[in-house]
Amino acid sequence: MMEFLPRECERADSYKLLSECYYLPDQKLIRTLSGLKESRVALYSEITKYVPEINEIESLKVDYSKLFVGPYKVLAPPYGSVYLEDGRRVMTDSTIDVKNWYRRERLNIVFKEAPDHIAVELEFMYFLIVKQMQAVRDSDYKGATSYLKKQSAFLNTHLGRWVPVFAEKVEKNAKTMFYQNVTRFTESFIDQDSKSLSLRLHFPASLV
Amino acid sequence: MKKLQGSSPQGQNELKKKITRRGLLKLSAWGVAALSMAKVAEGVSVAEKSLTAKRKRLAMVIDLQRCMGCGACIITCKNENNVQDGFTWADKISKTVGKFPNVRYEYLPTLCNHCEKAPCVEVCPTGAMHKGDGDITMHNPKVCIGCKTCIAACPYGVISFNKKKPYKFWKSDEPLIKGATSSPREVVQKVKATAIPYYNPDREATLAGAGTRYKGIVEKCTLCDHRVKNGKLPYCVQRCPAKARIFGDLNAPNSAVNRILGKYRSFRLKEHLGTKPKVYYVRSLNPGTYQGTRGSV
Amino acid sequence: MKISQNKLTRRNFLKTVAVTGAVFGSGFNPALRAFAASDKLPAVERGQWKPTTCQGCTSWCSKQAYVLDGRVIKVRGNPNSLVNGEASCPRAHLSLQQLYDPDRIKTPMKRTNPRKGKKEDPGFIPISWDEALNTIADKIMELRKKNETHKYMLMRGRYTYMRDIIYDRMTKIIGSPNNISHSAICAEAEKFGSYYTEGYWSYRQYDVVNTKYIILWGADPLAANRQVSYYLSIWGDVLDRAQVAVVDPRLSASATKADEWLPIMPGEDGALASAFAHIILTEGLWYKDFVGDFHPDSPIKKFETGRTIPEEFSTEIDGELVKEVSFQEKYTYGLIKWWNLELKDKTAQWAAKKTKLSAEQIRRVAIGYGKAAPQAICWVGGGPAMQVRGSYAAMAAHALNGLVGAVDNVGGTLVANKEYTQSFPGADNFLDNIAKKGKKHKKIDHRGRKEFPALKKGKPGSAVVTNNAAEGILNEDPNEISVAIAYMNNFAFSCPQTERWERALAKIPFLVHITTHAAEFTWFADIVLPSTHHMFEKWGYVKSHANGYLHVTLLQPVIDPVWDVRIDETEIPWLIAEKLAQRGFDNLIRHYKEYKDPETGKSPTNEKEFALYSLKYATHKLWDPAEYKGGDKFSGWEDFRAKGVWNSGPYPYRKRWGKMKTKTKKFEFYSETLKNALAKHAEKHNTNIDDIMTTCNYQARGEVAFIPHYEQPYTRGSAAEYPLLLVDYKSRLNREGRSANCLLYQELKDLDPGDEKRDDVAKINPVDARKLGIKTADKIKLISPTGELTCTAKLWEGTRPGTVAKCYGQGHWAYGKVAAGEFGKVSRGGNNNDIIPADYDRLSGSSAFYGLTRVKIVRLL
Repeated sequence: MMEFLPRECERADSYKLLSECYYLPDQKLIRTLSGLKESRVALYSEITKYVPEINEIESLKVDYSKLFVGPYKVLAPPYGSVYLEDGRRVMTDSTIDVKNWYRRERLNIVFKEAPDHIAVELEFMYFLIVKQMQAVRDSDYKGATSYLKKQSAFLNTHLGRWVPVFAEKVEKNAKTMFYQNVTRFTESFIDQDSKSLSLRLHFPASLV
Repeated sequence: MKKLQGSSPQGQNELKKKITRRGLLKLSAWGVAALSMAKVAEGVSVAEKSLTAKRKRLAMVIDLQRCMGCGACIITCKNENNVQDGFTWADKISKTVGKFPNVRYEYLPTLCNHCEKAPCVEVCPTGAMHKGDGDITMHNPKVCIGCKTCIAACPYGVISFNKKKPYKFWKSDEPLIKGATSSPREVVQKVKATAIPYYNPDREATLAGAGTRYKGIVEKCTLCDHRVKNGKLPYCVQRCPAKARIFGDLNAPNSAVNRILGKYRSFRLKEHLGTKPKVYYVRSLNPGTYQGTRGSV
Repeated sequence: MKISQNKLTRRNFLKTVAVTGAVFGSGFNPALRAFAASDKLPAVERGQWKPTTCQGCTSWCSKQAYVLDGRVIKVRGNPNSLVNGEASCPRAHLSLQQLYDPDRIKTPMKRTNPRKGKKEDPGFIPISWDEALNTIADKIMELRKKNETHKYMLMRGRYTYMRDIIYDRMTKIIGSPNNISHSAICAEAEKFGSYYTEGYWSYRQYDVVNTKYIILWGADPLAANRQVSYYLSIWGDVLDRAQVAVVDPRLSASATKADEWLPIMPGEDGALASAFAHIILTEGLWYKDFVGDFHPDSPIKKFETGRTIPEEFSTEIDGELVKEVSFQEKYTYGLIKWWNLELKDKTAQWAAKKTKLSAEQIRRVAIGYGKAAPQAICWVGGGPAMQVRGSYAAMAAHALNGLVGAVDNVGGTLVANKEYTQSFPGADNFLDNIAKKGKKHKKIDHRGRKEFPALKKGKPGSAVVTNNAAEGILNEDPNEISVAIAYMNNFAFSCPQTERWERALAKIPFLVHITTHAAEFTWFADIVLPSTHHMFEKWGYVKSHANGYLHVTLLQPVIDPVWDVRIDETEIPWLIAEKLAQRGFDNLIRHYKEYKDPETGKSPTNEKEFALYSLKYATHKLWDPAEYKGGDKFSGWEDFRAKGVWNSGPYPYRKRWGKMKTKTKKFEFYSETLKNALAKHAEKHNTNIDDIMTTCNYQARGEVAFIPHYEQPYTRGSAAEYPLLLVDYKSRLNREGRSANCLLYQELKDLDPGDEKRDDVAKINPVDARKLGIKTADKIKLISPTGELTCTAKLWEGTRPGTVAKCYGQGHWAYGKVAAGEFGKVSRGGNNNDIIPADYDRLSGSSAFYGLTRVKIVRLL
């Protein structure tokens, strides 16, 4: 049982950390990442491999803007709706659907970006895992399972579906190793997590 | 890594007891977040709390003299709750009685009576139909199995069953004039709505987060619990142009409903069945006068 | 800071927590950056309520539309309006199904099938705005080149007060007299009644909250026109203080809540009104403070049945014979003449025979009404007025308000409060010689001809005769129509004897329809331009009055238009003007550039600016504090726009007593005003008034033509062959003729008393039905000498025997998938106008809808 909690914490924190990487880089982010360079958690040490020094932040900012913001051609738009065809979604636009996901969890978006921005979707996964942990703490195993299911469903219908194509675009266009690296690990982490979730849901005994 | 005993319920409680500060520090040895025992107050608003705390009995009084039979209640309820074509949550009973020219028209607005002794709740096998906060007869789509026993039990006919996928009209891809008009599905997509173009997301606040219904479940009036819990009147009450619908708490001695029910004799539908309905009717659709007379032999 | 597994101390740990945010949270408490967790239920109504106006009927309520994520989700009354407040009638909510109707036209179209006819599918294909506008401009220029601009016609349907831009200025500057409005298929004859008595050519408002007796004459304010939202909101209280009597052949919505239902035979309203007047006078119940009284020395001091009263009498004063008036009128004129010429023999018994009501009920209502004076309203609706001889019936019913002193009085009938909108810049300086010449031609609707006096506001030939324009087009009289533009109308559905319009429209070589839907009229168009939805996508304004106030309410775009549409009255004429200028004719665009933004003084440079500036121009004196004249005050345009509505000051009761816009300045029971107008018309045609009366199918001769009086109803067809009279009426869900494509309309049609869901029923009294062998649910045909329609029979006790009551609004064979049986081919239900003949109340130019159509019923097997 105790093995479960730290594992979930790690998952949660990983999503959160990745989410932070997709905001415009600032000194706080550099410091946080630098602090994790020697972490025993594999993901942390991998992501932080190419974190520059604080005085090199400009190159990061430039790369970030070119990739994700503009003002001219956005090289790797970090929004799900850009990559998702709506054909499969019979009634709703993917943007509306993702908003509904958040609404159902009583979350209001305060980030001034589209609801399917990668930072938002990653943080949402973090949130769902924390809710799952809360449920376990409260001995609400039905609730915890439900949150696990939501995590799996969210990856399958949103984040997990478009990150591979997004990652491809970043790898092709990123000038800094930092973003190349972060995005590559975002993709592999999500892929791994998605598979692991499927397994856990398929074999309920292994849930907790 | 020390394994704490058991995943049994007792084991869990043990677990909880044993997460001490020292235990926390041990966890953090794995480079893991500190676990705090902070409790997050979950999803219970101030308004909601007060609905449960003082045990309200929410009811509605319909003043038939103010009612003009206009049907705005029926239409606006559908609007608020995304009720599909062919279903109503608020409805009416009307008929013309008498022989020309001694004719009158009878009109009675109807809705779920949110009975205190609700037959639909009593028969529901899964608890989908249940009494919720404020003594609203509430439905939980998540556990509804669509057995329709509630429909059979309800003497008022206010529950509808989704035999087919709802909102059928809006699923069509056929334009009227090719290239020049759109199709129902195209309109919904163009305006980025869910199911219907004028979809109201407010309905998602309760009803298990579902703003629309789906095949295989029942549906009915929830007294706009999503509005009530936010301190707003049920939509039919707010939108009646004549203020013919009055809402309030039967447990609050000076509420509007109690003031009116104290002043006027009222009736409820099928009271003799013992369902204890909470929709009351007062006064008369036509309060008109007639010429005084003693009649004749 | 590095984390070392081995060297983790409490201090290290806490520092880690601080720096990494543990990581980013404290375990069970999520640290969110993109989100804010709400520990409450999601709020409801997080969107915005934006102001606009509803034109579902001519109540013209000020509304608010709830907008979230760029969608309109619901509507309500605008609480800022003193006329309707937050209250909203049911039809307003159907507007959502209109706005998002999949059958709305989303792009301009052109016709590919050169043949025109009801059975000819136009073969519409989508084209660009550019192509559409170029085609239109070319056609107009053709007319100019040939000096035939009088062959241009503009047909107006649903308008706002931006209308003159396209209806008046554009037509004049192109050079045609043929701007034809729809007003004559509305209720113009009602206005005749109030004009030729109290000098007011418009619709009234009624002070019902202060009244004691209301007689509704073919008016149904709880269902249709005017200011339904307001009357729905207060009627429950009104019933506590006032008695209500409803004069209507069917049990209308208002009748279901009335004290008295007078199920009158259609067309006999004038008889009832004359009898009411007779009883009020013989019972001495007239209101002396307004009407006056007998001279104290008059030998005759009361009105007695059958007795003529001399207008003057002789009396001796100081040994001299002096003539005095028998009756000293205060604020009225012609009472004795009216009594002598019309009223003296019109007893309750006489009226009972005509109306088929009981004499007892007639007396009871008349006396109840009279005793309530002056708080006693005669509310004249379209019913008695829109008939072949309806002008006089309207006069007769409205005159009762004069008898009881309710005119302009507390608890009585009121006019519109003063408002301060202004007209657009004049066209005169932009008329070239071609235009001046073209304008001089006679109008296509024949108003002003001997048989169409059309006496609007006392001026012969000034009221439109909408339905007769079809005749003009068909006969090329006075000339053919080569190029026509029509907006938001559907004459091939909404005018009596629809097949005439089908033929007339097929004749027009180039027809443009500005519309939201491909309706019956559109079937004959060459170019179709998709219009904005008035309530959610358009700039404009309209006025309405009730509750003792008048409001000027703005129509505003509350969302981006759903499709590639343009505003009918402003954007489209501008775009056409641009195209015309490109072809060398720039008078129109130069004129439109005069419509400057009062805030900046700037001229519009494109159609979007034009639509907005012209609105700001017209409403300037309402929102600019420097121009303030009265009513609500605003800090500027934006303040006005945000509130959405301007309210007038409160009603100035009795200000018009003795100052009416009649020839005598008084309330005329003997209308010198009408006499004057008729004389002018007769003179114009070198004849006398009696000849005019004969030509126009009225029975009045001599002075009776100048007073409110009873005219026998005029019907088509023999009673033997066509035993029942058609009673047409409007649904509480009708959005003019446009609701039938809304799912809600079909689903809830039984909100009209006696009607059925998803069906179009003709309601027959069971006594008549039995004679005819008809049962409820039988499929039947209603056949008149004019045409036939198919619908379903319904036996209903709320129908007056001798009549068949059927609602207007269904019977579309185009318009949309829901409205039509099979789009372009088969109708759903039956259109009353298919069987109503094209006939007129010629004094007002109005089309007759009521009292004239005799039908027979045939059961379909």
